[in-house]
Amino acid sequence: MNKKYFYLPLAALALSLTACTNSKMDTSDLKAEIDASRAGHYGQAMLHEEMSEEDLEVANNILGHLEQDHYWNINEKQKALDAAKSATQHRYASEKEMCLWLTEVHGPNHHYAEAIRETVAYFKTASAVPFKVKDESIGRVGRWLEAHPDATATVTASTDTVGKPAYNQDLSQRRANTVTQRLIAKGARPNQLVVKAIGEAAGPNNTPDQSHRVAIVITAHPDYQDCANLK
Amino acid sequence: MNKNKILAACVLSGALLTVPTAQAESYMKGFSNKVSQGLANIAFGFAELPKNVINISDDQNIFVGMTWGVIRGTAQGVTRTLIGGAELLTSPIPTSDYASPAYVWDRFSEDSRYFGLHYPGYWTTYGPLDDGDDD
Repeated sequence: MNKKYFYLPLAALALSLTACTNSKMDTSDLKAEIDASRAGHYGQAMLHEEMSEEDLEVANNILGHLEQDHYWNINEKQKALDAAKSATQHRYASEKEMCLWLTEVHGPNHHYAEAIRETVAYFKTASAVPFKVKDESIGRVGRWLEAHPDATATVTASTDTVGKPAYNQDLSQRRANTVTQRLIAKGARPNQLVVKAIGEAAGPNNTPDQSHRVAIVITAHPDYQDCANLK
Repeated sequence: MNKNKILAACVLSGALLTVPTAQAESYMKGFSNKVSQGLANIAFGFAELPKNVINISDDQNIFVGMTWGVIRGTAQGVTRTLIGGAELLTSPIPTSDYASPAYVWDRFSEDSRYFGLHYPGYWTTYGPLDDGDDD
């Protein structure tokens, strides 16, 4: 047979087959949309929830096999245990993402700058017993600390310059303790209170015989946290 | 027909008629299941052969499948066919299933057992036709 009668149809066939091939469809936009549907903390919470449900379905399916003695020749229990553990992990991850989302949503509403600054007690020279106490202020701070267990308060006490610095340091400590005890009596927890006995006051107040030496309470609240005890 | 046979027929019919409806329905269901399983196992018992070959080949390799799988499948096929006959013969008597899975196509990755007993040399993984989700 003449070779051209063989090669020509073959070439035509190859050409027609090439014409029939279609290019692979671009799926990048679809992938991007799919990724977008599960983006962010809320999307990830949904994703983990779905994965947890899938794992749980596997575990329950195998539980059914074991209870009905099906698939006896296949050791499915380990697979079920792994699936159940994975379901738990996904549940925790979902919970965490959900809490992060809550923080994201509710965080801006938190009152970061709600610190209270109060001068609560006044002492005369060399005395740790206040001649004037703002019981209302102490009560307000104590109740606030009681209501916010994660908040803290700093009690700062100082003295005038009468007497030796070491004595004044001890005096300021006693003054701070006086205020601390009153705060605890009003609801504050001891571990919420930070005592700063600074001894003789600094700056323009570093003078003798001033009867307005005070103890000041400044509260502080940690950063906003949702679900702080998550696993 | 003599009088004794007529009497016996009357007594049996009466007994059946006095059985509560629910029990009668349950009995009929068990009866029809057993007939159905008996016929299916007689007709398709031979399917144990490809079932064993496919599952053992997947679990081990094609050589084991085509040797041990054929031997085992033949034995299983004969057993299932005989079991099918036994199910059909005893269909009026309510019992639990003789074969598990009841039909050869059920739970394809599960090795068949008869009266709770199995043949040695079974496979231990899911086969290619069933991943345990289809029941």
